[in-house]
Amino acid sequence: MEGARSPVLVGLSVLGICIFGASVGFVAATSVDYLGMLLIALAVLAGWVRIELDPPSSLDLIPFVVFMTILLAGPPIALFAAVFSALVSSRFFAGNPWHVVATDVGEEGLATLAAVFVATGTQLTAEALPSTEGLLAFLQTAVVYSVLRLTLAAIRSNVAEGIGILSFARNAGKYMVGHLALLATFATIFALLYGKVGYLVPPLATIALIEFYIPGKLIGEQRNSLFANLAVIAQAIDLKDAYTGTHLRSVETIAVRTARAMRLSEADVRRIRIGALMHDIGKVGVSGRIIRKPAALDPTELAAMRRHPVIGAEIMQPVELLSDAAAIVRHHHEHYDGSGYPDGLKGEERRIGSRIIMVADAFHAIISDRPYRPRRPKDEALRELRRGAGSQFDPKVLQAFESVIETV
Amino acid sequence: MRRFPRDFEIVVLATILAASVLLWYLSPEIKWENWLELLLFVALIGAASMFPIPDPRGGYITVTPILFYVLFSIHGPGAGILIAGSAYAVGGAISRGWVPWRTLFSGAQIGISVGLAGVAFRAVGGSVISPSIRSFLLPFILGALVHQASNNFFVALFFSRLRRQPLLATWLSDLKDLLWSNSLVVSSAALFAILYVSVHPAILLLYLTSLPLQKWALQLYLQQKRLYWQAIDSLVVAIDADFPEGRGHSKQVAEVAMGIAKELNLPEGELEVIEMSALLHDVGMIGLDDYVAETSKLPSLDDSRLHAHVRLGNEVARQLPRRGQDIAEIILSHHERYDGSGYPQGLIGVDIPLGARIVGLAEAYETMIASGSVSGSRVSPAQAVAIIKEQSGTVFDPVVVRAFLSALEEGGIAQGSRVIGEATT
Repeated sequence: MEGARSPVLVGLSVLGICIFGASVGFVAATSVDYLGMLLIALAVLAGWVRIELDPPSSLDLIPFVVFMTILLAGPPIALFAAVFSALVSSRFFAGNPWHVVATDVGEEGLATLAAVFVATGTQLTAEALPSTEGLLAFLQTAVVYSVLRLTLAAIRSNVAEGIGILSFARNAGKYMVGHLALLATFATIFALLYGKVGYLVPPLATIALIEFYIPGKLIGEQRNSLFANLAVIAQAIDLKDAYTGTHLRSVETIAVRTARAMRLSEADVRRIRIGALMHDIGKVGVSGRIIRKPAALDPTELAAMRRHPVIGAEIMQPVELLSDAAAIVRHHHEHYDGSGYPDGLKGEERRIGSRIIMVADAFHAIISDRPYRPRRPKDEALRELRRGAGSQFDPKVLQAFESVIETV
Repeated sequence: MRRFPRDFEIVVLATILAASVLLWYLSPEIKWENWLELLLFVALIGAASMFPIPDPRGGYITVTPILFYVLFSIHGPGAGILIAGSAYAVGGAISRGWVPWRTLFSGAQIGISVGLAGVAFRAVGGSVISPSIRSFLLPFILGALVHQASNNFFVALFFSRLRRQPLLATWLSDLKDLLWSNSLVVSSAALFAILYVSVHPAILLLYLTSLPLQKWALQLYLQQKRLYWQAIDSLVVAIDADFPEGRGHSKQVAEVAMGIAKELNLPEGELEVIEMSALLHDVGMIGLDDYVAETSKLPSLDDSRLHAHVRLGNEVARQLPRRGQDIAEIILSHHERYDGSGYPQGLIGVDIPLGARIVGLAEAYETMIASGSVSGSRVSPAQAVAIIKEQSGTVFDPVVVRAFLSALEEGGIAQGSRVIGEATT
């Protein structure tokens, strides 16, 4: 979920709108020949291939066309191609809400604007290319673009999802760098070929590149699909649990933010994500009557209820994708002082994931309406959690949790 | 050595003969001084035909078409038939073993297809020198189409004679599928032809080295896909344990629904939507576990809790990313009846989404034959089929019922009863 009210993101969105307006103005002032129109159309096509990475950020083929356009049709058209295709890609191909679209346009627009400045300053054109000055000029342009793109993407991830800059660089960052380098290289080659062979080259090259990237696109979609499916199942459990709204999804978000605040690896974060969504799946094995009882439970009912972490882990263990998170689920009701269930583990004996999910779950439960009591406000919830520090909750986890609570 | 139908043998011989004649006719055109490049093609095509990469939609594909298209456009139809035919035959012999008639047949078939493509390309004035849309791209596309149609013709001929099915129908149904997947290939091939001529023939080697990467990426995708479906499956099985119908109900419904959908020849995307809808159709029931489920015959219409579960399911499924809306609609409508007497909206006939008509029938069938269903009376598969036939046109769509019956007959749907608690297979 984007923290759309963050000043950084708002600033970027506003910048995006301004750059878009300006680029439309530039293009209206200059004349656009057929090549320019072709390249703009190709940029839009290139925006169709969006590869969603984990942690969230996306790659697309727009930079390839933008680099070619800078070389073949000049800066104003390149800028327009960049922001226009970013808009179409974000809104129509990815279906993002308008405020996200504006930020996407800002990210692409700012990076392209900088690249275009450098290109104009070094008088970069396709004719200049084969010479060393030309190549150097292109290199500078591409580097400026890439650095800006990466920085903006890292900042956005940090603000919206709490991902550390270093962590981003290690995960999505390295893909972005490789990807942009590849696109820049291809752009040079095909721009040169255009001079030799003609207008068939850019469209054929773009389509060939799209074909090459399709597996990556499919893999990204598949991954998002998985989490969406898990969330749907989780919501069904929420319904049984008489949560109106998206309790498990919120727990997922809180747990992920807290985990990132604790500087856990992205692999751990992914496990925790699955654990958070699935941690109450064991409740399918407990009668709804017990789960939704508006009063305190008697001993037999309590015993039945307390089986749910074990049932949940049993369900998840045999499934390859979920088995990693099964232990987290099994122990999500253990207490820091060992007084929890089912195994009475203490302190650090249980996984960090379990400790985090417990905090997230407890907090969100308190601020939600339940069958046996109405919701309570955030600060009350926080106080109650603090009271449980050291006994029920891990103090370190609580600390990290408090640091992200504002963003939740 | 298997005995083949007589006309099948005739077809094989005729094809080989035709290929030889075409080769003899076109061979004067071959520019033998380019023997090194021709050899390159032999090596590449041979290698590529032994190295299939996974198709995201299922099965495997070889990347030879790109090489064929580059070959015929640059070296002409004569080289096309000779090089493509022989290289493909040799590659096939090495990877699948030397069976004389089959190797010769496949070589002949490919040779003819590529040769004809080359003829078509030249006939409309195609040339790779100073390419424009008219002088290169359109002829190239034409050549590719000729190759595809011709290749499919042979495949259709082969299978129709072998299985005694009508030729035209087989040919046309395959052609449609391949047209789309081929369009991307044509652009890449056109690009490589241009690169070959304006840069260097060795460019093709570069392309070939990218293949292992592609193969790896696609295999990764398919593997992930399998894992994900497995995970969803298992969760659904667990959820089913909550209901009186017992373990595996949703999964069984999904299998029956898929059998019907395949019988109706629905496209891949629709199949996935239906499968997911079937798996999740009772997801709205989770919160209603105290409720006693549908009777073994038909859902009783005046139970509002039953109505609630489709609405809940719809709300929940709506959030799925791709096709979430479609899946949600199917779940919402899977208790509608063809004559409009269903719930929640009383939709009639084809207003009910096709997926919902399919899943509705699948679920009714499964519920009837699952023993231990709460109303007590268990129904045998034969009786269930009879009931369904009886209700074709009222409760169920006759088209769907027909598909269901033929799927049952042809084994697309496993017959047999279920016992509560037992997962099948």
